[in-house]
Amino acid sequence: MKPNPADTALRTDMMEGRLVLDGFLGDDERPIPEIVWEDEAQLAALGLTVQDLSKVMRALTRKGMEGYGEPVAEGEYTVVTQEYMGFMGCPFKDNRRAAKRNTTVTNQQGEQFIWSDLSLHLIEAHGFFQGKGSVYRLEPVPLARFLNLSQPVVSQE
Amino acid sequence: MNYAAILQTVGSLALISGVLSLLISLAEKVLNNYGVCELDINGGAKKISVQGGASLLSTLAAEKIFLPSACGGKATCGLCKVQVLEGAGPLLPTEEPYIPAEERARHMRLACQIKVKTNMKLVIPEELFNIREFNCQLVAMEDLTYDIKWLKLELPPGERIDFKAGQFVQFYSKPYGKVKEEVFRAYSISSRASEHDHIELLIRLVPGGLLTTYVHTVLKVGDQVRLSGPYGDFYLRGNCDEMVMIAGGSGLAPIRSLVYDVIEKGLDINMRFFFGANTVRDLYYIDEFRQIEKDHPNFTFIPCVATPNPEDNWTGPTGFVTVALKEQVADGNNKEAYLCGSPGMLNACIDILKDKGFTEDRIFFDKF
Repeated sequence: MKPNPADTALRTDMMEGRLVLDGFLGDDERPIPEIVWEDEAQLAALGLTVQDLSKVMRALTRKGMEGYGEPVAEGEYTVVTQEYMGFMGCPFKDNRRAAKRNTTVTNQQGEQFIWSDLSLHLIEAHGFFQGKGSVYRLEPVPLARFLNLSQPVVSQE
Repeated sequence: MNYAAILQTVGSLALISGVLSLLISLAEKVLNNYGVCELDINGGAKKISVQGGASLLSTLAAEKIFLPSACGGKATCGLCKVQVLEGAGPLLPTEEPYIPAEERARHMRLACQIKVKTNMKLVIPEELFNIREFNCQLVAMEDLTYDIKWLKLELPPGERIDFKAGQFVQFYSKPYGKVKEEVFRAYSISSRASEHDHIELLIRLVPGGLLTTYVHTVLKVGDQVRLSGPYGDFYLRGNCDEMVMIAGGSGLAPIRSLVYDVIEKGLDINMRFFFGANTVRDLYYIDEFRQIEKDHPNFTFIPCVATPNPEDNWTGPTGFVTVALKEQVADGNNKEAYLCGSPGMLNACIDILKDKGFTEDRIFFDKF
Protein backbone atom coordinates (compact mmCIF):
# COMPACT_ATOMS: atom_id res chain seq x y z
CA MET A 1 0.00 0.00 0.00
CA LYS A 2 1.26 3.44 -0.88
CA PRO A 3 2.14 5.34 2.31
CA ASN A 4 -0.05 8.30 3.19
CA PRO A 5 2.03 11.52 2.75
CA ALA A 6 0.84 12.77 6.14
CA ASP A 7 2.08 9.53 7.76
CA THR A 8 5.40 9.89 5.98
CA ALA A 9 5.76 13.46 7.26
CA LEU A 10 4.82 12.34 10.76
CA ARG A 11 7.38 9.55 10.66
CA THR A 12 10.03 12.00 9.45
CA ASP A 13 9.30 14.38 12.33
CA MET A 14 9.55 11.46 14.75
CA MET A 15 13.05 10.53 13.64
CA GLU A 16 15.99 11.29 15.92
CA GLY A 17 17.28 14.85 15.78
CA ARG A 18 14.06 16.33 14.38
CA LEU A 19 11.96 17.40 17.37
CA VAL A 20 13.91 15.68 20.13
CA LEU A 21 17.47 14.42 20.14
CA ASP A 22 16.68 10.69 20.29
CA GLY A 23 13.43 10.72 18.34
CA PHE A 24 10.21 8.90 19.16
CA LEU A 25 10.58 5.69 17.19
CA GLY A 26 13.77 3.97 18.33
CA ASP A 27 14.46 1.10 15.95
CA ASP A 28 10.78 0.33 15.44
CA GLU A 29 10.01 0.03 11.73
CA ARG A 30 6.29 -0.65 12.10
CA PRO A 31 3.93 1.97 10.71
CA ILE A 32 2.86 4.38 13.46
CA PRO A 33 -0.83 3.29 13.37
CA GLU A 34 0.33 -0.30 13.85
CA ILE A 35 2.38 0.67 16.91
CA VAL A 36 -0.71 2.37 18.34
CA TRP A 37 -3.04 -0.56 17.55
CA GLU A 38 -0.74 -3.19 19.02
CA ASP A 39 -0.25 -1.25 22.25
CA GLU A 40 -3.98 -0.60 22.52
CA ALA A 41 -4.65 -4.29 21.96
CA GLN A 42 -2.31 -5.20 24.81
CA LEU A 43 -4.18 -2.82 27.09
CA ALA A 44 -7.54 -4.05 25.86
CA ALA A 45 -6.53 -7.57 26.90
CA LEU A 46 -6.26 -6.19 30.43
CA GLY A 47 -9.60 -4.44 30.07
CA LEU A 48 -7.90 -1.04 29.92
CA THR A 49 -7.79 1.95 27.61
CA VAL A 50 -5.08 4.54 27.15
CA GLN A 51 -7.35 6.99 28.99
CA ASP A 52 -7.31 4.74 32.06
CA LEU A 53 -3.53 5.02 32.16
CA SER A 54 -3.22 8.64 31.17
CA LYS A 55 -5.73 9.74 33.81
CA VAL A 56 -3.58 8.25 36.58
CA MET A 57 -0.37 9.52 35.00
CA ARG A 58 -1.79 13.05 34.71
CA ALA A 59 -2.85 12.96 38.37
CA LEU A 60 0.64 11.88 39.43
CA THR A 61 2.24 14.64 37.35
CA ARG A 62 -0.09 17.22 38.89
CA LYS A 63 0.82 15.95 42.34
CA GLY A 64 4.51 16.13 41.51
CA MET A 65 4.16 19.71 40.37
CA GLU A 66 3.25 20.69 43.90
CA GLY A 67 6.85 19.96 44.83
CA TYR A 68 8.47 22.30 42.27
CA GLY A 69 11.24 19.77 41.72
CA GLU A 70 11.23 18.28 45.22
CA PRO A 71 9.86 14.78 45.98
CA VAL A 72 6.17 14.54 46.84
CA ALA A 73 4.57 11.46 48.40
CA GLU A 74 1.40 10.19 46.74
CA GLY A 75 0.10 6.93 48.17
CA GLU A 76 2.72 4.27 47.58
CA TYR A 77 4.62 6.48 45.14
CA THR A 78 7.22 9.21 45.36
CA VAL A 79 6.81 11.73 42.57
CA VAL A 80 9.33 14.29 41.35
CA THR A 81 8.65 16.68 38.50
CA GLN A 82 11.45 18.61 36.91
CA GLU A 83 10.55 21.62 34.78
CA TYR A 84 12.40 23.61 32.19
CA MET A 85 11.50 26.80 30.39
CA GLY A 86 9.83 26.51 27.03
CA PHE A 87 7.56 23.96 25.46
CA MET A 88 7.62 21.08 23.03
CA GLY A 89 5.39 20.77 20.00
CA CYS A 90 3.47 17.57 19.36
CA PRO A 91 4.67 15.69 16.25
CA PHE A 92 1.01 15.03 15.38
CA LYS A 93 0.74 18.81 14.89
CA ASP A 94 -2.42 19.20 16.94
CA ASN A 95 -1.51 22.59 18.39
CA ARG A 96 -0.70 21.03 21.72
CA ARG A 97 2.38 22.60 23.22
CA ALA A 98 3.54 20.47 26.12
CA ALA A 99 5.55 22.04 28.91
CA LYS A 100 9.13 20.78 29.17
CA ARG A 101 8.42 18.78 32.28
CA ASN A 102 9.59 15.32 33.32
CA THR A 103 7.77 13.28 35.95
CA THR A 104 9.69 10.55 37.78
CA VAL A 105 7.55 8.13 39.77
CA THR A 106 9.07 5.55 42.09
CA ASN A 107 7.16 2.93 44.03
CA GLN A 108 8.11 1.32 47.33
CA GLN A 109 9.82 -1.58 45.54
CA GLY A 110 12.14 0.90 43.84
CA GLU A 111 10.55 0.46 40.41
CA GLN A 112 10.57 3.67 38.45
CA PHE A 113 8.79 5.14 35.45
CA ILE A 114 9.64 8.49 33.87
CA TRP A 115 7.50 10.42 31.43
CA SER A 116 7.53 13.89 29.96
CA ASP A 117 4.41 15.98 29.49
CA LEU A 118 4.79 15.36 25.77
CA SER A 119 4.94 11.57 26.30
CA LEU A 120 1.83 11.83 28.44
CA HIS A 121 0.06 13.84 25.75
CA LEU A 122 1.09 11.34 23.05
CA ILE A 123 -0.52 8.56 25.09
CA GLU A 124 -3.56 10.55 26.16
CA ALA A 125 -4.44 12.09 22.79
CA HIS A 126 -2.93 9.70 20.27
CA GLY A 127 -2.55 6.35 22.08
CA PHE A 128 1.12 6.46 21.14
CA PHE A 129 3.53 4.94 23.67
CA GLN A 130 6.41 5.51 21.18
CA GLY A 131 8.39 3.00 19.18
CA LYS A 132 10.30 -0.01 20.46
CA GLY A 133 13.84 1.02 21.35
CA SER A 134 12.93 4.67 21.87
CA VAL A 135 14.46 5.97 25.08
CA TYR A 136 11.11 7.58 25.86
CA ARG A 137 8.93 4.51 25.17
CA LEU A 138 6.67 3.43 27.98
CA GLU A 139 5.71 -0.24 27.79
CA PRO A 140 1.94 -0.19 28.32
CA VAL A 141 1.49 -3.45 30.23
CA PRO A 142 4.34 -2.96 32.75
CA LEU A 143 3.21 0.64 33.14
CA ALA A 144 -0.38 -0.48 33.83
CA ARG A 145 0.91 -2.94 36.43
CA PHE A 146 3.12 -0.25 37.98
CA LEU A 147 0.09 2.02 38.25
CA ASN A 148 -1.93 -0.81 39.80
CA LEU A 149 -4.27 -0.81 36.81
CA SER A 150 -3.72 -4.33 35.58
CA GLN A 151 -7.21 -5.29 36.75
CA PRO A 152 -10.14 -3.98 34.72
CA VAL A 153 -10.96 -0.44 35.76
CA VAL A 154 -14.45 0.34 36.99
CA SER A 155 -15.50 3.83 36.01
CA GLN A 156 -15.42 6.24 38.95
CA GLU A 157 -17.37 8.94 37.15
CA MET B 1 19.36 -20.83 -14.08
CA ASN B 2 19.62 -18.33 -16.91
CA TYR B 3 21.92 -15.69 -15.44
CA ALA B 4 21.92 -13.68 -18.66
CA ALA B 5 18.12 -13.38 -18.52
CA ILE B 6 18.25 -12.34 -14.86
CA LEU B 7 20.92 -9.75 -15.56
CA GLN B 8 18.93 -8.48 -18.54
CA THR B 9 15.79 -8.16 -16.41
CA VAL B 10 17.66 -6.37 -13.59
CA GLY B 11 19.31 -4.07 -16.12
CA SER B 12 15.98 -3.29 -17.76
CA LEU B 13 14.37 -2.51 -14.40
CA ALA B 14 17.30 -0.28 -13.44
CA LEU B 15 17.03 1.54 -16.75
CA ILE B 16 13.27 2.04 -16.36
CA SER B 17 13.78 3.28 -12.78
CA GLY B 18 16.47 5.68 -13.95
CA VAL B 19 14.30 7.06 -16.74
CA LEU B 20 11.34 7.45 -14.36
CA SER B 21 13.52 9.24 -11.79
CA LEU B 22 14.78 11.58 -14.49
CA LEU B 23 11.22 12.28 -15.67
CA ILE B 24 10.04 12.95 -12.10
CA SER B 25 13.00 15.23 -11.51
CA LEU B 26 12.32 17.15 -14.73
CA ALA B 27 8.59 17.33 -13.96
CA GLU B 28 9.32 18.72 -10.50
CA LYS B 29 11.57 21.37 -11.99
CA VAL B 30 8.92 22.39 -14.50
CA LEU B 31 5.81 22.03 -12.32
CA ASN B 32 7.38 23.48 -9.15
CA ASN B 33 8.99 26.38 -10.91
CA TYR B 34 6.91 29.26 -9.70
CA GLY B 35 9.27 31.86 -11.14
CA VAL B 36 9.64 35.27 -9.59
CA CYS B 37 6.81 36.29 -7.27
CA GLU B 38 6.12 39.69 -5.75
CA LEU B 39 5.50 40.07 -2.02
CA ASP B 40 3.52 43.22 -1.32
CA ILE B 41 3.92 44.06 2.36
CA ASN B 42 1.70 46.45 4.32
CA GLY B 43 -0.31 47.86 1.45
CA GLY B 44 2.59 48.51 -0.88
CA ALA B 45 4.88 50.06 1.74
CA LYS B 46 7.43 47.41 0.84
CA LYS B 47 7.56 45.27 -2.28
CA ILE B 48 10.00 42.39 -2.72
CA SER B 49 10.62 40.18 -5.72
CA VAL B 50 11.50 36.64 -4.68
CA GLN B 51 12.01 33.27 -6.30
CA GLY B 52 8.91 31.17 -5.63
CA GLY B 53 8.90 27.65 -4.30
CA ALA B 54 10.06 27.98 -0.70
CA SER B 55 8.03 28.50 2.47
CA LEU B 56 6.96 32.05 3.24
CA LEU B 57 8.91 31.87 6.52
CA SER B 58 12.22 31.00 4.86
CA THR B 59 11.56 33.32 1.91
CA LEU B 60 11.06 36.25 4.28
CA ALA B 61 14.09 35.24 6.34
CA ALA B 62 16.21 35.26 3.16
CA GLU B 63 15.01 38.84 2.70
CA LYS B 64 16.05 39.61 6.30
CA ILE B 65 12.48 39.79 7.57
CA PHE B 66 12.33 37.53 10.60
CA LEU B 67 9.06 36.24 11.99
CA PRO B 68 9.17 34.73 15.48
CA SER B 69 9.29 30.93 15.40
CA ALA B 70 10.38 28.31 17.88
CA CYS B 71 10.14 25.01 16.01
CA GLY B 72 12.12 25.75 12.89
CA GLY B 73 9.23 25.37 10.45
CA LYS B 74 7.84 22.02 11.64
CA ALA B 75 4.36 23.36 12.37
CA THR B 76 4.54 22.45 16.04
CA CYS B 77 4.84 25.88 17.67
CA GLY B 78 2.31 28.01 15.79
CA LEU B 79 4.29 31.20 16.41
CA CYS B 80 5.01 32.26 12.82
CA LYS B 81 1.50 33.54 12.14
CA VAL B 82 1.25 36.21 9.50
CA GLN B 83 -1.66 37.94 7.81
CA VAL B 84 -1.81 36.97 4.13
CA LEU B 85 -4.50 38.93 2.30
CA GLU B 86 -3.87 37.35 -1.09
CA GLY B 87 -1.95 34.51 -2.64
CA ALA B 88 -1.79 31.91 0.13
CA GLY B 89 -4.32 29.42 -1.25
CA PRO B 90 -6.66 27.39 0.96
CA LEU B 91 -5.87 26.65 4.60
CA LEU B 92 -3.70 23.53 4.89
CA PRO B 93 -4.50 20.64 7.26
CA THR B 94 -1.23 21.32 9.10
CA GLU B 95 -2.36 24.89 9.78
CA GLU B 96 -5.91 24.11 10.93
CA PRO B 97 -5.18 23.36 14.61
CA TYR B 98 -3.30 26.63 15.02
CA ILE B 99 -5.65 29.06 13.31
CA PRO B 100 -8.95 29.58 15.14
CA ALA B 101 -12.04 30.87 13.32
CA GLU B 102 -11.47 34.49 14.30
CA GLU B 103 -7.93 34.39 12.89
CA ARG B 104 -9.08 32.58 9.73
CA ALA B 105 -11.47 35.47 9.15
CA ARG B 106 -8.48 37.82 9.33
CA HIS B 107 -6.54 35.63 6.87
CA MET B 108 -3.91 34.60 9.40
CA ARG B 109 -1.66 31.79 8.18
CA LEU B 110 1.36 29.83 9.35
CA ALA B 111 4.31 31.24 7.40
CA CYS B 112 6.25 27.99 7.76
CA GLN B 113 3.53 25.96 6.03
CA ILE B 114 2.50 28.05 3.05
CA LYS B 115 4.69 28.19 -0.01
CA VAL B 116 5.32 31.23 -2.13
CA LYS B 117 3.76 30.16 -5.43
CA THR B 118 2.31 33.41 -6.68
CA ASN B 119 2.22 37.11 -5.85
CA MET B 120 1.18 37.66 -2.25
CA LYS B 121 -0.15 40.52 -0.17
CA LEU B 122 1.01 40.42 3.44
CA VAL B 123 0.60 42.46 6.60
CA ILE B 124 3.63 42.35 8.89
CA PRO B 125 3.80 44.35 12.16
CA GLU B 126 6.26 47.25 11.85
CA GLU B 127 8.29 46.18 14.89
CA LEU B 128 9.33 42.99 13.12
CA PHE B 129 11.29 45.05 10.59
CA ASN B 130 13.67 46.04 13.41
CA ILE B 131 14.68 42.43 13.85
CA ARG B 132 18.09 41.78 12.38
CA GLU B 133 20.41 38.88 11.89
CA PHE B 134 23.85 38.81 13.51
CA ASN B 135 26.76 36.49 12.84
CA CYS B 136 28.44 36.58 16.22
CA GLN B 137 31.53 35.01 17.68
CA LEU B 138 31.36 33.16 20.95
CA VAL B 139 34.15 34.90 22.87
CA ALA B 140 33.54 33.41 26.32
CA MET B 141 31.56 30.59 27.89
CA GLU B 142 31.53 29.44 31.51
CA ASP B 143 29.57 27.07 33.73
CA LEU B 144 27.44 29.01 36.20
CA THR B 145 25.99 25.82 37.68
CA TYR B 146 26.12 22.13 36.77
CA ASP B 147 23.49 22.72 34.07
CA ILE B 148 23.58 26.43 33.20
CA LYS B 149 26.16 28.01 30.94
CA TRP B 150 26.93 31.71 30.49
CA LEU B 151 27.73 32.71 26.92
CA LYS B 152 29.21 35.98 25.68
CA LEU B 153 28.63 36.57 21.98
CA GLU B 154 30.41 39.42 20.23
CA LEU B 155 28.83 41.13 17.23
CA PRO B 156 30.91 41.66 14.09
CA PRO B 157 33.02 44.85 14.23
CA GLY B 158 30.95 47.94 13.49
CA GLU B 159 27.61 46.27 14.12
CA ARG B 160 25.36 47.06 17.07
CA ILE B 161 22.24 45.59 18.62
CA ASP B 162 19.58 47.79 20.16
CA PHE B 163 17.24 45.93 22.47
CA LYS B 164 14.99 46.60 25.41
CA ALA B 165 16.04 44.94 28.66
CA GLY B 166 14.02 41.73 28.95
CA GLN B 167 13.82 40.93 25.23
CA PHE B 168 15.11 37.73 23.62
CA VAL B 169 17.02 36.53 20.57
CA GLN B 170 16.72 33.42 18.43
CA PHE B 171 19.87 31.30 18.61
CA TYR B 172 20.61 29.10 15.57
CA SER B 173 22.63 25.90 15.96
CA LYS B 174 24.55 24.13 13.25
CA PRO B 175 23.85 20.48 12.30
CA TYR B 176 25.63 18.04 14.63
CA GLY B 177 25.47 14.32 15.36
CA LYS B 178 21.90 13.07 14.95
CA VAL B 179 20.66 16.60 14.28
CA LYS B 180 20.88 17.00 10.53
CA GLU B 181 19.50 20.50 10.20
CA GLU B 182 19.73 23.91 11.78
CA VAL B 183 17.68 24.34 14.93
CA PHE B 184 16.72 27.59 16.59
CA ARG B 185 15.35 28.47 19.99
CA ALA B 186 14.56 31.64 21.92
CA TYR B 187 16.81 32.87 24.76
CA SER B 188 16.47 36.00 26.86
CA ILE B 189 19.38 38.42 26.84
CA SER B 190 21.04 38.68 30.25
CA SER B 191 23.43 41.55 29.49
CA ARG B 192 22.83 45.27 29.82
CA ALA B 193 20.73 47.01 27.17
CA SER B 194 23.35 49.79 27.22
CA GLU B 195 25.94 47.38 25.78
CA HIS B 196 25.53 47.22 22.04
CA ASP B 197 28.58 45.32 20.81
CA HIS B 198 27.81 42.00 22.46
CA ILE B 199 25.10 40.06 24.20
CA GLU B 200 25.18 37.55 27.01
CA LEU B 201 22.90 34.51 27.34
CA LEU B 202 22.25 31.90 30.03
CA ILE B 203 21.43 28.49 28.63
CA ARG B 204 20.25 25.61 30.79
CA LEU B 205 20.73 22.06 29.55
CA VAL B 206 17.39 20.39 28.81
CA PRO B 207 17.74 16.58 28.66
CA GLY B 208 17.19 15.57 25.02
CA GLY B 209 16.99 19.21 23.94
CA LEU B 210 18.28 19.77 20.43
CA LEU B 211 19.75 23.22 20.93
CA THR B 212 20.80 23.08 24.57
CA THR B 213 22.66 19.82 23.89
CA TYR B 214 24.47 21.62 21.04
CA VAL B 215 25.46 24.48 23.34
CA HIS B 216 26.52 22.24 26.20
CA THR B 217 28.39 19.57 24.24
CA VAL B 218 29.40 20.91 20.83
CA LEU B 219 29.81 24.68 20.92
CA LYS B 220 33.21 26.07 21.88
CA VAL B 221 34.78 29.46 22.37
CA GLY B 222 35.75 30.95 19.02
CA ASP B 223 32.81 29.41 17.14
CA GLN B 224 30.52 31.51 15.00
CA VAL B 225 26.89 31.71 16.10
CA ARG B 226 23.98 33.12 14.13
CA LEU B 227 21.38 35.08 16.06
CA SER B 228 18.33 37.09 15.12
CA GLY B 229 16.50 39.59 17.24
CA PRO B 230 15.54 41.34 19.36
CA TYR B 231 12.08 39.91 19.90
CA GLY B 232 9.41 40.05 22.55
CA ASP B 233 7.17 42.28 24.61
CA PHE B 234 8.69 41.34 27.96
CA TYR B 235 10.51 44.58 28.78
CA LEU B 236 10.59 47.36 31.33
CA ARG B 237 7.38 49.40 31.63
CA GLY B 238 8.36 51.27 34.79
CA ASN B 239 4.94 52.83 35.46
CA CYS B 240 5.10 51.93 39.14
CA ASP B 241 6.73 52.56 42.49
CA GLU B 242 7.99 49.02 42.84
CA MET B 243 8.93 46.14 40.59
CA VAL B 244 8.48 42.64 41.97
CA MET B 245 10.75 40.33 39.99
CA ILE B 246 10.62 36.55 40.23
CA ALA B 247 12.87 34.03 38.50
CA GLY B 248 14.01 30.45 38.69
CA GLY B 249 16.85 28.68 36.88
CA SER B 250 17.99 30.41 33.70
CA GLY B 251 14.96 32.71 34.05
CA LEU B 252 17.33 35.01 35.89
CA ALA B 253 18.66 36.20 32.49
CA PRO B 254 16.12 38.89 31.54
CA ILE B 255 15.73 39.97 35.20
CA ARG B 256 19.46 40.76 35.37
CA SER B 257 19.12 42.93 32.28
CA LEU B 258 16.05 44.66 33.75
CA VAL B 259 17.78 45.38 37.07
CA TYR B 260 20.74 47.03 35.33
CA ASP B 261 18.37 48.98 33.09
CA VAL B 262 16.52 50.51 36.05
CA ILE B 263 19.81 51.36 37.75
CA GLU B 264 21.46 52.86 34.66
CA LYS B 265 18.39 54.94 33.82
CA GLY B 266 18.32 56.23 37.41
CA LEU B 267 14.62 55.40 37.75
CA ASP B 268 13.03 56.06 41.10
CA ILE B 269 11.64 52.55 41.40
CA ASN B 270 12.15 50.02 44.17
CA MET B 271 13.03 46.52 43.03
CA ARG B 272 12.58 43.25 44.86
CA PHE B 273 14.03 40.19 43.18
CA PHE B 274 12.92 36.73 44.35
CA PHE B 275 15.25 34.07 42.93
CA GLY B 276 14.07 30.50 43.53
CA ALA B 277 16.29 27.42 43.54
CA ASN B 278 15.81 23.86 44.68
CA THR B 279 19.26 23.51 46.21
CA VAL B 280 22.22 25.78 46.91
CA ARG B 281 24.03 24.33 43.90
CA ASP B 282 21.27 25.76 41.68
CA LEU B 283 22.10 29.30 42.77
CA TYR B 284 24.42 31.59 40.81
CA TYR B 285 25.23 35.31 40.45
CA ILE B 286 24.68 35.54 44.21
CA ASP B 287 27.73 37.72 44.84
CA GLU B 288 26.84 40.01 41.96
CA PHE B 289 23.29 40.63 43.17
CA ARG B 290 24.47 41.02 46.78
CA GLN B 291 26.85 43.71 45.56
CA ILE B 292 24.06 45.48 43.66
CA GLU B 293 22.03 45.37 46.86
CA LYS B 294 24.88 47.05 48.77
CA ASP B 295 25.40 49.71 46.11
CA HIS B 296 21.74 50.48 45.42
CA PRO B 297 19.33 50.80 48.34
CA ASN B 298 16.33 50.55 46.01
CA PHE B 299 17.24 46.92 45.19
CA THR B 300 16.47 43.97 47.46
CA PHE B 301 17.67 40.48 46.61
CA ILE B 302 15.81 37.49 48.03
CA PRO B 303 17.32 34.15 46.99
CA CYS B 304 15.15 31.24 48.22
CA VAL B 305 16.34 27.65 48.48
CA ALA B 306 13.66 24.96 48.67
CA THR B 307 15.71 22.21 50.31
CA PRO B 308 19.21 23.26 51.38
CA ASN B 309 21.55 20.53 52.55
CA PRO B 310 22.86 20.90 56.12
CA GLU B 311 26.44 21.11 54.84
CA ASP B 312 25.51 24.13 52.70
CA ASN B 313 25.13 26.30 55.83
CA TRP B 314 22.39 28.19 54.02
CA THR B 315 21.15 31.11 56.11
CA GLY B 316 18.73 32.70 53.62
CA PRO B 317 15.03 32.02 53.16
CA THR B 318 14.19 28.33 52.98
CA GLY B 319 11.24 26.99 51.03
CA PHE B 320 9.66 27.66 47.68
CA VAL B 321 9.83 31.12 46.18
CA THR B 322 6.02 31.20 46.43
CA VAL B 323 6.29 31.17 50.24
CA ALA B 324 8.59 34.19 50.31
CA LEU B 325 6.40 35.96 47.78
CA LYS B 326 3.29 35.42 49.92
CA GLU B 327 5.06 36.62 53.05
CA GLN B 328 6.94 39.60 51.70
CA VAL B 329 4.67 41.23 49.13
CA ALA B 330 1.70 42.85 50.82
CA ASP B 331 -0.34 44.01 47.82
CA GLY B 332 -0.22 45.04 44.19
CA ASN B 333 -0.63 48.78 44.75
CA ASN B 334 1.57 50.75 42.33
CA LYS B 335 3.55 47.63 41.58
CA GLU B 336 4.49 45.75 38.43
CA ALA B 337 5.56 42.10 38.38
CA TYR B 338 8.15 40.60 36.04
CA LEU B 339 8.49 36.83 35.96
CA CYS B 340 10.68 34.36 34.11
CA GLY B 341 11.00 30.66 34.80
CA SER B 342 9.40 27.28 34.36
CA PRO B 343 5.64 27.22 33.69
CA GLY B 344 4.71 25.61 37.02
CA MET B 345 6.53 28.25 39.05
CA LEU B 346 5.19 30.99 36.82
CA ASN B 347 1.58 29.88 37.16
CA ALA B 348 1.84 29.49 40.95
CA CYS B 349 3.38 32.95 41.34
CA ILE B 350 0.86 34.58 39.01
CA ASP B 351 -1.98 33.13 41.11
CA ILE B 352 -0.44 34.61 44.27
CA LEU B 353 0.11 37.98 42.61
CA LYS B 354 -3.51 38.10 41.44
CA ASP B 355 -4.69 37.24 44.95
CA LYS B 356 -2.68 40.21 46.18
CA GLY B 357 -4.36 42.54 43.74
CA PHE B 358 -1.97 42.63 40.79
CA THR B 359 -4.05 43.06 37.65
CA GLU B 360 -3.13 41.05 34.55
CA ASP B 361 -1.92 44.14 32.71
CA ARG B 362 0.74 44.65 35.39
CA ILE B 363 2.10 41.10 35.34
CA PHE B 364 4.70 40.52 32.62
CA PHE B 365 6.28 37.24 31.54
CA ASP B 366 7.54 35.52 28.42
CA LYS B 367 5.43 32.73 27.01
CA PHE B 368 8.27 30.60 25.66
